[in-house]
Amino acid sequence: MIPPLTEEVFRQLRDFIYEKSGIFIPDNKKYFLENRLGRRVQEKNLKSYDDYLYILKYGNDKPELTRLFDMVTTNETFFFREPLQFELLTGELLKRVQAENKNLTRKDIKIWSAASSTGEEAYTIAMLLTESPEMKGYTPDIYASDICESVIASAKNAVYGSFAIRNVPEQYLKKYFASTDQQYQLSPAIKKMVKFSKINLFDEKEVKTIRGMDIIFCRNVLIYFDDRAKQKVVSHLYDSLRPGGYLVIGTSESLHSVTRAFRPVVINKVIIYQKV
Amino acid sequence: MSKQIKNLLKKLSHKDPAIRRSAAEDLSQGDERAVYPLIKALNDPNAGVQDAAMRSLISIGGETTAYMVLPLLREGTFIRNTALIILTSIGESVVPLIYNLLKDKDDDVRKFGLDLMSDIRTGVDVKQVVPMLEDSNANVRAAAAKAIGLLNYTAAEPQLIQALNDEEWVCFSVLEALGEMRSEQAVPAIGALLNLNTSPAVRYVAIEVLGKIGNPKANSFLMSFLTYADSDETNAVIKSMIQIGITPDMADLTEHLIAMLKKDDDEDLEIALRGIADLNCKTAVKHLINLAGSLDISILGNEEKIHQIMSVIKTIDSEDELLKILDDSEMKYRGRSLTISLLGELKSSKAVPGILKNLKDTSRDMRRASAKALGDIGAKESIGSLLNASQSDPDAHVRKAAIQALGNIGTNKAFEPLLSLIEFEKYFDVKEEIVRALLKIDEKSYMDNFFSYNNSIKEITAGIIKDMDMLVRLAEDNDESVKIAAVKGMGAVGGQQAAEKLISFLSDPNPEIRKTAVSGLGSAGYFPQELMSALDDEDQWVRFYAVKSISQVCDDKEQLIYLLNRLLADDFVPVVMSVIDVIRDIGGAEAYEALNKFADHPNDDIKQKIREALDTI
Amino acid sequence: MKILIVDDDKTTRKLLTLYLKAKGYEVVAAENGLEAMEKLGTENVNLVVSDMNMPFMDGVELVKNMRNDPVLAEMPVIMLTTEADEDEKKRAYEAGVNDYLVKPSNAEQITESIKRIVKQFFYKGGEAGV
Repeated sequence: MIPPLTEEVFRQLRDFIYEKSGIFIPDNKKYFLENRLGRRVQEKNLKSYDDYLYILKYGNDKPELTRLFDMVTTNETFFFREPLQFELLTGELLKRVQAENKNLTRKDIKIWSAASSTGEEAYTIAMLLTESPEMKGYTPDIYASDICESVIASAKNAVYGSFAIRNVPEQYLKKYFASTDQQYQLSPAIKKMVKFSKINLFDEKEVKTIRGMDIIFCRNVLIYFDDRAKQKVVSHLYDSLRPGGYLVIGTSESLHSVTRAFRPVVINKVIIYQKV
Repeated sequence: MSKQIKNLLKKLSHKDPAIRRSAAEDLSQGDERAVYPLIKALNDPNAGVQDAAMRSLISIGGETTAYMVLPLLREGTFIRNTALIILTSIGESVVPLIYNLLKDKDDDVRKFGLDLMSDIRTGVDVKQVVPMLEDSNANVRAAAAKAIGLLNYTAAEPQLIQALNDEEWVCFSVLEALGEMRSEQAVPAIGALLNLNTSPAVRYVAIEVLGKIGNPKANSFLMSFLTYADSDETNAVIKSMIQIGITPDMADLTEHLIAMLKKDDDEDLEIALRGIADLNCKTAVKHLINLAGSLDISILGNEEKIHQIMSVIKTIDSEDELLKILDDSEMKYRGRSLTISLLGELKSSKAVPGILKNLKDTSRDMRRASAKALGDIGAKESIGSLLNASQSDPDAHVRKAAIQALGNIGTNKAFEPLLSLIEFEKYFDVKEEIVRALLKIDEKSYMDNFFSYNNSIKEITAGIIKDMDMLVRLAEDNDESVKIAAVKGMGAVGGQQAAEKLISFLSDPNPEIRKTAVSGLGSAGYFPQELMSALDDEDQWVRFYAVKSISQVCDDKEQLIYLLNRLLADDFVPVVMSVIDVIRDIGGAEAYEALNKFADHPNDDIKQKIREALDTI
Repeated sequence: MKILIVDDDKTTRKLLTLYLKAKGYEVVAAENGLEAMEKLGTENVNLVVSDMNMPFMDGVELVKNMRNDPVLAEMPVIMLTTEADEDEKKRAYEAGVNDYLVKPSNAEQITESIKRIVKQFFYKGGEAGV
């Protein structure tokens, strides 16, 4: 049995995770961290959390790092999550983007799902744009990324269980999923539409690889950051948008005490942010 | 750096806002020369540039920046408010400059000074704030009260209490400050405000603050006011009295508490829970289950809430209520599964028939909770159903829970079935559970047939048992994982016999085994000569654990330094790091010298750690 | 009638909320101009009472933005602030506020101002949404 996680080591682990990813683990989540990491410490046949910290810090073990981030964030996501925001996407938002790009004669719509986890959000966008009559004459250009490589691999595989598809409308389910024995495989045509990559939003260099976006989705991930980290991440997202581009975050989140570089825009009671 | 800064400064006037913004961001690495241009950039027409300039000024920080930003407090609305953000973020180095603001002839500047003190807090000489309670401007007086409260300057309590007589706006802030400070001294004065001549706003906050302070002296004031209170005020009085810790005997208190549960307020919830627990309020149980069952666990913080609610239910005499809920077909499934868990923890034998029904539910969480509860209760009449579940439930979590329950009940009837089950079960952790259960039910019979089992069973068992003879036999097994598990087990058991065996494994060809043996000797507390050779092992992790174990078991500190210091030249960083830790903790002149030899280590991380360690010795 | 209170100070928000609720108004609150804009879009607000000095977006900028928005252009705004300066007052009126009160103001003064503004709307024949 490994000795319990002490305050001191917890603090060191917390600081390390924050330094590498911006994710901040508050004091009351010590128990949660202990639980998550405990299993991993035993799997690696280590004696204590101390030793695990050593591996993280000095073992130069990149896969272990990304595994750590995965353990620390909860991924309870599903298709068509927060449908009002998606309605906005295919309605008013798409119209605005097309109108704004008219002068540039751009016929592509660039969208980035910045915390895509196992891909539900990005693929939802892909399906919606495929079905949308407003997209006639336009090409969807969809990017998706996550800090954690294993979830990206899962996303590329695109096989889902019943929890993930609980909100998918009947006609989409029939058209885009092949089901066998409680498993749902996404159609290859949709899979092809999304380009996945590993990006740590806290790392400026990594975020710089995505440029000129019309719309960025970054939902339910800012909650893991404290104010300082949030500012940094939002600033990186700002740079990835084209002027006047849009940022969509979770309905329980807000940027109002983070930055004035984004202006809130409210459409049909849904709040999104526009790069000023 | 100079050329770079000049370049960036030029870019700050570029016509492309993206370039200006990028320049403003990069200037965060600049020095004082960047401050004034960045301040100018706060007025850039583009909000992205303004934002970057603000953040860079915060980043540069320091007294010079603070000094140059301070005058902006007299500028237009946007600039002065941005200046406040910057100054607050810069923090403590701003504080020495604020005291002069307190003497400014502009009311707002004096107020800004106090606001900054409230926000920065560290390094503030609060004594200088107290006279501001007598400032000519009411907003300044209110800000002073706020600062004193947040900085918890108890020496100023008498002055604050005096300030309760000030106009409403100020009185309000004073009340909040006294609440912040939990000022027991102030209770009589605050209690005196609970009358119909005071303004409703002040009365309301006075009630809240009495609750926050938490001193029972307040109860007489609160109780006598109850006769005049309107419905909001009544609610507030009840909350405060519960916070203080005494529950009044009001007939309709229960209803109020249940109503508080339904409001979407975390603070109300906590207080209501406390009140319900204090009153042993059985009628609230159903509402509590409903509430816990309705919380979405994927939302941050809800797991915590559910846990709190469950704790409260456990303190109440709730078995009968829970049984009623179990039979209520209208109860939604999450609530039902929580009810079952609770009945299990309460070891309610009356609940068994009801729980058995749920063992066949379509939801796996329900079946799992049911299995666990039956095990907790020790219900012999459920053995058949549990065996069934362990063999044929499609979900591994449920099978595991059923197996664990059978182990807890301890019934012999399950022995054979479980034994045969091991061969068929495909999941490792479920197999582990079967072994645990079998050991619990009949250790002797299980171990008698031990060597007919396959390798993965042997490995699992080796990880669990404490019998030394068995472990020795297992350590001779041909399969490496079984061996490793056995060696680990020996380390856990400890003792002379184990130590002797572990020593023999120090020379095993498999580094994993050597590592486990080294580790085990450390846990067991033995320091044989042979352990020292592990310090030179070819495998880096063996060396790492050798350092740890030796430092655990070696009593002679000087010898320890002598043994370990050459490993500071090891090429595996974690080894070096742990040696530094050990030597630093020993301290003293020898330790200092040993570390100092490597003060210029080529690896930056190591160098830094050594320097830090040298500082602490 | 629903009133939006905008102030970065928690105590002030609390006090104003108590004042207005006691007088029968529905109240929502925001801590700066940006949050105010969010609330204005998602709640059916009829009138705004805003401080001037707030981080990220102050009261003056908030009002200017409101006046430029076709939906919010006519919504009444009362500025309630510590700034007693005549220049500040002028700036606020130029930005488009309907009334300017200096803190501290008690419940009576604030509700007087609200009633006055609402009456104006009736005279203008416009919608006050009361």
